[in-house]
Amino acid sequence: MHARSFGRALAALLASAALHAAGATALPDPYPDVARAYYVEVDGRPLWAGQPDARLPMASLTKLMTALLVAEAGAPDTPVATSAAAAAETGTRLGLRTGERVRRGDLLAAMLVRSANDACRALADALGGDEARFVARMNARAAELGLADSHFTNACGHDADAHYASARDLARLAHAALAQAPIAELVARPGYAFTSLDGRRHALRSTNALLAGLDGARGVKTGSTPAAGRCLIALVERDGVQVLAVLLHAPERWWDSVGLIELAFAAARRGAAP
Amino acid sequence: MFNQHMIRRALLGCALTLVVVAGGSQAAPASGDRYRVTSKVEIKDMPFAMPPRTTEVCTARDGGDAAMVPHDKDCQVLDYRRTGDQSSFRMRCTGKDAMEGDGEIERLGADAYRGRVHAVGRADGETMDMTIRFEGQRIGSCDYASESPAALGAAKLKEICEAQLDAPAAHAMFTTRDAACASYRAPFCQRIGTLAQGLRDPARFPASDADQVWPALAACGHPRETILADACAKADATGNHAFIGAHCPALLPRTCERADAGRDADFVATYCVEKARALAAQQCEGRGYTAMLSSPYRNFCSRYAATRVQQRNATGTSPGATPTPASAPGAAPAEAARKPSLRDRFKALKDSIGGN
Repeated sequence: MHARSFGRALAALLASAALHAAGATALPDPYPDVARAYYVEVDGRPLWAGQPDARLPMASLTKLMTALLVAEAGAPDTPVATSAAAAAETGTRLGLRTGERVRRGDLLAAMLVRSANDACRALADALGGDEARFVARMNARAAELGLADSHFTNACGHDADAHYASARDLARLAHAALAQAPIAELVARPGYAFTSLDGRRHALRSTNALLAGLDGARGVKTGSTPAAGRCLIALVERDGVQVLAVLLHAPERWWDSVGLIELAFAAARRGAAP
Repeated sequence: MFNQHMIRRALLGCALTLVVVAGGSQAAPASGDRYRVTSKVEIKDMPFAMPPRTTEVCTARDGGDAAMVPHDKDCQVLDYRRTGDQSSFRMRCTGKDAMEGDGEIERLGADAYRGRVHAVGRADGETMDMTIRFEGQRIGSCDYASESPAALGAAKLKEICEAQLDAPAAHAMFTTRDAACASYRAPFCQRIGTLAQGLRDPARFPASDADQVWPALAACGHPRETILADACAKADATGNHAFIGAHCPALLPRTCERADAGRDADFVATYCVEKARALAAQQCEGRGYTAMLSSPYRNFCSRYAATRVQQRNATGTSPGATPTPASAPGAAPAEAARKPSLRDRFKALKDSIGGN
């Protein structure tokens, strides 16, 4: 093993152990009915959580890990040819055609803004050579980040037995992803339009309703599958205070995330937040 | 066990003896002698020995024995007697941790002395028996008027009192009976008066954590109710609904009646319970979040969502009772879920496919 890789793996192991130790402290769970699992932070410090370490399917929140690897790879102008598997993706999609060439940065945008599965798969296939190898990189990166309760079996969030994450891990993943400037910029966009290198125009509207409706909303990612239910990671900033909320399997995803976020800001105003 | 109070008293006793000695020195009006004094306190059954302590003290050169002895309000030096180079006295301290004892001092020429004080008292139900041994050596002259322990104490007190003049939290130092800084009450309360004047403006009203301010204001004759009445009147005149909600319950019904939930969502959702409930039933319940985006009540419904999350969890309504996806905040927990709209059914279908 390369010395640097060994160092990173060791650091990840230590980080994971430390984070698990930190996670052992129970957080208040005042709103258990908003989601099967939830996690709320104010300015990076945990405030409330319900089942924060439960391993649950996370649907398209998965794409934050894919996006992180894509952003870390850089080269947004690199052309990506849509693979056949990408063109055959189901769920939310752009309608890319096999062989259609798109800038890597535009695919990243389509994956984050519209949660497009074909854009996501095209990126995974292009960066990993195939999805399986890309997923291996996702799991390696998860280990580096200390995400002990996360495991990926696909790049885009389809339901599968061994495809899961915890709300706490997803908050940590969101921070890592948002530290990448292109991701932070794209997840806050209400829409995105681009033309593929083959001349097809694509105009997308964000799946994140909070961007249009909630004061201070800064993104981050939506997700929804039959097993995962409705999921959301939301970042909202007001007067220099940031609230991050993660909800997994939240029947009333929008209203309850809004309610939770308003309550978190109220707690911060009262000085009740950590 | 020996407490701090008793040890302090022991040290005070030691200081008393020093001045007793000085009281017997030669006279020279408005001047003093500076002594370096080393004392050691021994307390019977104390598991550790206290180290010797050395201080410099300016003592009156011309004082009569009794007049020269400073003592705190709870202690008295009694029966001071001098025979040649030997003096003796009794000491009695009353109040908390009362103690009683006697002492003797021997002069060693014109510039030195040594002595002892023995005292017995009770602390926390236990007997305390202590002995203080001391010796002093004159090291020069001093200005008794400004350097005596009493003068230094007064100067220190002045410094402390002046430093706290702008600290409402220190109001007890100025306003309580027998307060250490009672002579500074007027300037302290003058400052508090200025503060009180400012607080009549809602914008300068203290946050809820300013609990120390109110006792200080009350102690200086500015009760909270009076200030609040003025501030509420000003808030009413300027339409400061947030202030009214937080501090003026008497004005709430009228203000809620006038408030526009579209423009003042926070206030209505937080403070106008009945109006918010009615409005939520009209404008929020049964509507999907995305359908609200163009509504003037969007912010109100968002604020109300928080109320609803709180209510639902406070009443312990199970997640299973939560209405179907497009349900909105404000729906009564016991109310049956509304029939999903065509839009909701479309969304549910999309969910079953997955992706966002």
